[in-house]
Amino acid sequence: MSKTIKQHTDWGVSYGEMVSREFFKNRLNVVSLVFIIFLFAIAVFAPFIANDKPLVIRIDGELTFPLLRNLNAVDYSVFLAAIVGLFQIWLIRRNKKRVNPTRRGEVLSRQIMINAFVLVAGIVFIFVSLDKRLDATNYKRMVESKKATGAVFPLVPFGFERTDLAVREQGPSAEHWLGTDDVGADVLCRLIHGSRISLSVGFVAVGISSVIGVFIGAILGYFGGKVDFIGMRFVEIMMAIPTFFLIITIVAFFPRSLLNIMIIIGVTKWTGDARFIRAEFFRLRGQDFVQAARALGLPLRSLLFRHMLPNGIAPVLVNATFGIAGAIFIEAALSFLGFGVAPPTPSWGQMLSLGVGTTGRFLWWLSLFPGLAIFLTVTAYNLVGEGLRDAIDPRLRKAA
Amino acid sequence: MAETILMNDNDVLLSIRDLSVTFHTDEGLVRAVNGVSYDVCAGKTLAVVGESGCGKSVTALSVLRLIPDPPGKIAGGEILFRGTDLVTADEKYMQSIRGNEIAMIFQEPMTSLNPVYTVGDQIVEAIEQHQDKKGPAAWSHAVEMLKQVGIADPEQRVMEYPHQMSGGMRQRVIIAMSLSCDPSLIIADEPTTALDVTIQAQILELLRDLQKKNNMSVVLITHDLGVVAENADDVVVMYASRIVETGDVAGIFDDPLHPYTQGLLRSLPRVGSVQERLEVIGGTVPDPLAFPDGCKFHPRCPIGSDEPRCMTVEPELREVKPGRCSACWYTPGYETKEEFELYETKYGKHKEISG
Repeated sequence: MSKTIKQHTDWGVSYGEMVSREFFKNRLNVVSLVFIIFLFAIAVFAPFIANDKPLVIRIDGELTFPLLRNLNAVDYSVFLAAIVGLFQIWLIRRNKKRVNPTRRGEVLSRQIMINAFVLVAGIVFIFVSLDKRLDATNYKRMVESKKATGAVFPLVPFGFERTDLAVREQGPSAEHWLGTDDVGADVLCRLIHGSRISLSVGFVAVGISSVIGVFIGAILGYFGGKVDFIGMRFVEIMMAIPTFFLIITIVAFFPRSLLNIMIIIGVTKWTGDARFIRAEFFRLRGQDFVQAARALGLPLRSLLFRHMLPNGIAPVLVNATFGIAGAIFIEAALSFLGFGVAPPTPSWGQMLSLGVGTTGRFLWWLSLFPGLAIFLTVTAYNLVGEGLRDAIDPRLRKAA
Repeated sequence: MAETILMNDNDVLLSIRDLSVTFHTDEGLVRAVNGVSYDVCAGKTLAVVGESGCGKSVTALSVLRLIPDPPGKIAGGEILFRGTDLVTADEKYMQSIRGNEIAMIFQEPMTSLNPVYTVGDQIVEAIEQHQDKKGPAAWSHAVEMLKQVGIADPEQRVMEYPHQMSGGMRQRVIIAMSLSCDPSLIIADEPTTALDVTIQAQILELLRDLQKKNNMSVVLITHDLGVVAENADDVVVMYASRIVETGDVAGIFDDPLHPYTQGLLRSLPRVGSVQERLEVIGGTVPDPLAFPDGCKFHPRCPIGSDEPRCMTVEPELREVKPGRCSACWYTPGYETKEEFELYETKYGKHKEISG
């Protein structure tokens, strides 16, 4: 009887579990991670937190939900992605307990395939079926003029696109907690919506750069010799170019869009990852288990990406967290210089640049709050990266 | 019964012919293997003996074309496996041979398993690669293999990670993995060196049993003469990238021909005899970048250290009696009549050898 219980609880501690245990021992790591999760929650639920449309309102005795009606395709896609992502994480945890390891790989790949399909199909469906409805109704005025009653506004009752020149460049007040910008938009609202830009730039750009870096690094490191010599010269040429100026130059040629910025950061930032993976693969190539895997007649694909990569991915993971921080920083800098996303789309760096004000007056709230947001986010990512690096470092872990 | 090594080709499974392997290092060209030839007969165990760095592992790795390239390169010779030359075979063919027809067991059980996967995952990958079994069928095959190599509670163990197992158990897993595709030849590169003595005996016995059961051939690479005596049918002795002596196991142990083999056997401790100190072969293995001229063993040789011919002319491997080969000028029956006369005219009388 006890044996059956044992079988379901003691299926071995995987490498990931060991690392996560080590990671969560440090309180600062936990705080940083919680902050990042908090940011994600804000980014996902931004329209519910800061919006000039009320959640519920009674107009002429009829109950309507303007906020829900005004969610756009991007909002729905973000919700769908968040739900599918959380569901997948839950599934992985559940698999560990419920699914027999003999079938785990099979089950997992099927789940991922189904979820990815749901996500892609869902997003396509959302964009196709949702026509852009612009609801220009000023619900606040309706409430004031007693046309409507029973309105429940979100926590920050301003829209990020709603300008109000009557209140431009005002400091923090009871109504506008963090002040207003040059066109009278609420700073807090724009900060909340700006988190979406910052987080997505970080993730997508680093995703692109990691994939490119890992692939190139793996090939250079595994084959070595001439392939490595030529490849590394190419990497060095890429590294010799000052990335930021390259990005500015490229951005000047392409339309100002978020996707372009993501791609450009991604395709210029992979050199670090490539070098990490190359160095790891040099080390791993001579390891017994790689030799053993070759001696078993496994194909190159399996050797590189199944046997070597998981053992050498740690520096890339750590670098990715730093990379996310770096990408957020680059996006902020680009926006600050006016090369970033175009207004009215909110971005932290773009808001920062408004601190000088139209009249030359220093608007401290426009520098402090977006600056603080950038600083805290970048710091949190860097702390997580550092925590991850320490957790992965085998010297700190007891020899198993 | 005397098994000939180089002659008997009716049931030869693997035949290495005049193999040379070089390594291009920063310090220069290293000839790690130099004109090595041996045959492995079906169902037999061939032991390859020699000191560290004598080229025995490199020879074995060359069979599966696993030497790191660069810097290593097979410079010449052929490796015939069931009549196909593996030196020139394409990579795809090699992949179908590796693990499937020829499997390898490495020295270090602690590092030969991938730490991020369960042992089951790793065995199953090999099975799925070479056999038609997929998914649950492959997994039950893996459990069956673990049972065969004597792992208790295989259904449980198959789901464990390598770090949860002891060294002996991991070596059993590695053996299970190499045997999972039913290979006809196993190359065991010092399979027991990293294990303690009691486990060594168990692992070797296990290998012997499985060999008998599956009618496999084994190339056993070792520097432990005790292991050779117990397990091998035939023996190849290597020194400094060359074969110096071959023969059947009884012949090698009862009547070693080459001074190096004689030295190796003398330096074994003997149970029951009282000795102050163990005998040693003086000196060290020569630097592969600067092999001595002539016979590579002559600086350490009790006969050849001051022999002008040993210092200048390298003796080739010759059959000196049925089934026995040696590469030493002073092995009885080695010299041809002409060589004998040439020597006497050049250097004077031959040295007297005692024993």
